[in-house]
Amino acid sequence: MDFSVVIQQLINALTLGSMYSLVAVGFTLFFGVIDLINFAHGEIYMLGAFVGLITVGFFAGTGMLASHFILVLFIVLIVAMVVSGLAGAIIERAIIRPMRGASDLMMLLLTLGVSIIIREGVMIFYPNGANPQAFPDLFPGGSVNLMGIVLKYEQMFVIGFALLMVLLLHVLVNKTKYGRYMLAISQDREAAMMMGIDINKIITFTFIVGSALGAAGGVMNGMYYNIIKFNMGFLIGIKGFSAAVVGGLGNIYGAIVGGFLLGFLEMFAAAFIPGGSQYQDVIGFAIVILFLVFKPSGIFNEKVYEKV
Amino acid sequence: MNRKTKDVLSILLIEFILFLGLLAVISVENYAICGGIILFFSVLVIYLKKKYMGLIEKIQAMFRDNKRIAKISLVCLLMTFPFFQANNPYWIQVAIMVGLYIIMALGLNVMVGNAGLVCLGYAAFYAIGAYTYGILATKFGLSFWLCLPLSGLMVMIFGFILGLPALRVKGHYLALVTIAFGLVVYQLTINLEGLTGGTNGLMNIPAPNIGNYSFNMPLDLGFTRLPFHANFYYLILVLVCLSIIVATRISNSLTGLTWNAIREDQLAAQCYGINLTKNKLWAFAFGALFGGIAGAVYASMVGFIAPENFTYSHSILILSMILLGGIDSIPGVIFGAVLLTIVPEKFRAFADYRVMFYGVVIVSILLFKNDGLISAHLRKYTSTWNLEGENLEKNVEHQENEAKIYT
Amino acid sequence: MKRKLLTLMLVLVLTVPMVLTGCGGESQSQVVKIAFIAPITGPNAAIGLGMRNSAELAVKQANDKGDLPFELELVPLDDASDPATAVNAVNKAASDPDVLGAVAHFNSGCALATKDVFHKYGLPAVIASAINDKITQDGYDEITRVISASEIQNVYAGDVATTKFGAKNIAVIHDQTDYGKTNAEQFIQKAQENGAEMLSFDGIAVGQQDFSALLTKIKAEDPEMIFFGGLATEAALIKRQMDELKIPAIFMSDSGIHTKTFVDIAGELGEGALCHGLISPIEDLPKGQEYIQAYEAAEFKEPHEAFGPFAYDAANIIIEALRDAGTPDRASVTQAIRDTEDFDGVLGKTSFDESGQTELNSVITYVVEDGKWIPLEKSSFKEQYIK
Repeated sequence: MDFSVVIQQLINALTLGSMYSLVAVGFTLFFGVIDLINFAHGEIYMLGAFVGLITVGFFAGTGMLASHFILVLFIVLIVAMVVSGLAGAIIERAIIRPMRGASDLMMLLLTLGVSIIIREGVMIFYPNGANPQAFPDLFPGGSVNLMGIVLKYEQMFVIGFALLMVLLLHVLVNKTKYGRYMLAISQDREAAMMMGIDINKIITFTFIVGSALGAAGGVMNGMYYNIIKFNMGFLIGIKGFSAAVVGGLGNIYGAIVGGFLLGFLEMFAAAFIPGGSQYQDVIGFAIVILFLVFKPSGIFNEKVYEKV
Repeated sequence: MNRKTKDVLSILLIEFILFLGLLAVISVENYAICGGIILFFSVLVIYLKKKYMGLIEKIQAMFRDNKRIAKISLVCLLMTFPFFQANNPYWIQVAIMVGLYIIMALGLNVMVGNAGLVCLGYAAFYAIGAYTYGILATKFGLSFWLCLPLSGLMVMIFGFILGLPALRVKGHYLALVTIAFGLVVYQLTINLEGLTGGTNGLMNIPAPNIGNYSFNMPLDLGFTRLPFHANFYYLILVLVCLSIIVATRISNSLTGLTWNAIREDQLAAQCYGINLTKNKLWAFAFGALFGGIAGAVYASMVGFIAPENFTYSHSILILSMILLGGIDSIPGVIFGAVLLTIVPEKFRAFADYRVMFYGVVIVSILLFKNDGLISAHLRKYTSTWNLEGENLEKNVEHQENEAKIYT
Repeated sequence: MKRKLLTLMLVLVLTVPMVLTGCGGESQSQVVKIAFIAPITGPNAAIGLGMRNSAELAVKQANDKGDLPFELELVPLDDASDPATAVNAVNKAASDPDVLGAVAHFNSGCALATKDVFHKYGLPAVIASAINDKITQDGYDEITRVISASEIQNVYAGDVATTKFGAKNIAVIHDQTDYGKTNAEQFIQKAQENGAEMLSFDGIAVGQQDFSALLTKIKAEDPEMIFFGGLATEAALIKRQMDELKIPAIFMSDSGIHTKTFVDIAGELGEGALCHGLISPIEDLPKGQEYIQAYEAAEFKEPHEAFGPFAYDAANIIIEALRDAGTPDRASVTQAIRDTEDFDGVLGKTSFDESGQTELNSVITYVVEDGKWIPLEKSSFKEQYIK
């Protein structure tokens, strides 16, 4: 096997893994603060991509796409993250909060219902939403060519941006007041409440952060593949969840590692297993099932406690 | 007229009116008139409820006292349905789909309702049942009546297989495992081309036949001819009745109670000495069985199956049926299946909004009435179970009678 | 108790007439319906809507002309590109005794699933644009088709690739659907006959977005051409990612990608992609301009897309058959459709052979240039590709 092919596949995998990580982090954050698996999170990712597309639409005629692409990209990302963050907050306030304390099954079905509403809502209300939408190029199409290995600028940006977000999240969680509150709540909600932390506020804040990261992932997806679809959230949601589980739910770094791991596994399965390309999207689940059966707590241990 | 005859007559009348209402709703094409009929019935019910205190309770009591007659007469009424729709078999076909969904919803209810094991890949069982029949019938030429139990058996085996990883995980993880199971089965039906025909699907699946009489022939009754759909309609009617009986018996039995215990608190159930492994596996296998039967019948009816018939959204649809009707409530589950099959068919013009509608149903039911439209009754056990498992049915009857005394 | 019974009686009296008026909806004027079944929602909705509008146009023109002894009505039904939905839709259409013919299907999977249903009900169907060979191979009288079967175009494609372009090493990708896989197999069979070598044969999943792993693998095989059997969305993504990975191969596919969707999604990187259309550009056809003007005059919301003319001709063939049939019943309409001889439509002069297949055959190669599909012969890629 050619060495450069392996490197090329590695780069491809890193790009894919970055997007998975951005989604997985959301799952893990929500689970951390309120023990909830938000099945609507994949749809937030999709929503982010569509908001991004709409925002790009405003610049379409101005020629700024060519001259100030960095600025446009920035605006698109910010708008998508803010809008989706708000959507996340609304979901939390309007639907999840009234049901807090209900059984796992109920919460699961609830977020599932929300995910259907968002998905179908985009399909119905976005013009021609049932069809795939072309996402314009936001980034110059060039690439670095080195010994047969192609590294696109876009890929560099996707990977770099994901790493930046991870860094920011690290700072947010460990160095700021809100981050400390989040940690406190995830360790012991009652105790945190007794220490005077406004847990409602922090939970909403967590939803905003998680959803914004997911939306950033959606925009990355749009600009990298140049195509978005109303139903793209389902698969990415399952994959993000899988990545979070593999990393250990509740552990932010676990989710990131899990995301990249899933990216690698998919890429290498498609590349090096004969006939693997048609199973690319299923390989991840097979691994997750194995993980759940043999090591349910993930690579980095999940916080587990059983109330009796 | 003594009270008993009066009651029986009223029951027949009520059933007849409801049946006529249903016929009216489905045969009127105009949305305004259709809505009018529904509105009329709703207003009538509300009016009666307001006007006569305790009327609903009285009617309920009436039905309870004459259970057998009520059931038999209902089945008889339903048997006349194809005669009303003989020149437009479309609604007979919808009725068959309603039946299939009732069977599947009852099966899913065994998992989710009785045992609290969330399953988001139920369509996979439906698929396995359909493909088992399809493959056995087209490749080996086996008869439907032999394949039906075989499909059931096959699906139960798969239920066990899904149950194995499910033993180690619960809650959200279980949901993920079941979604993955659904996707893997879907992908396999696509990729195992030699067996399943791939995305192309399996074609020319034979209809069931009795002797020389194929279910694909019109049903000639001498005085009238019914379209061939009627054959399947009666088959489904029998299967639905059987499923309801089996599901009711099971959920009233000790096994049902055990499942409930696991659902409420796994740890506590375990402490009581309940064998989690055995009971959970049975819940999966048993719930799956219903889906397999429905799948086999479906395959034999349409004669063509493809992976697209068994997607994730079908799993969600069945789940929303039991949520809407009421988890763990058998009448509720049936009602949910009927409603969620007929309403989208009726409003086909709004096909785009169909899935959205399911989502709204799920969320609003959970937010506002999370035990469903017809919620589950509290169990009527009062004392002593027959722990040997013998004469269980008699025992249930006995307990019900006993419960009646208390209520 | 008595009062209650009385009330119930009252309800009954009120309901029965309603039911009866509902059931006894006998049609007053003579209406003949033509069913239209294609994807109106779902991934191929754009094409399906163009087809529906075209069929609508044909029906409208016939009604305006007013030489039929009955009113025509088009019943559009959705198959959502999904075989199961298609079977339901056909069942629904066939259950209506007023429906005497159907213009059906864009997807081969749907047509394969429903051909038996059409046969069972004896309802004649003119398949507008599903190209799988097997659709017309059962010898059902009810099934006819106005589009060339896939083998014709794939054999043509195989010849073009090997003899015209001189490609020797070809990598083949398909989307695992019956349509894509059959195309890919028929293409490669012809290409191999002509001496080309198949380097690899890989499946992808519909809806998959990332093909970089597969393409990186293919790049290492160094093919001169990549042939893709499948539809526009995946094709566009593959073409893009091919160029981004700097694979210098020619990209070729089938009539399935001959849509605006491909050009939209592939963008600039779509330039130079090849496909095989089943007709020449509509505006170049003798009756093409007429059709385009009529379509524009009817002010439909959606464009007619590539397959509109097929639905238009299919609908007109049924209308013509209704005119010829004498008695409007399914059996005679079926026969009349089968007897169609040199029907002069947009596509050309259509006649059916004994299997119900159109005898028209006009496959040509298209290429994307300046964001449009144009015939290869007229493009600047001609010199670059043809050796």
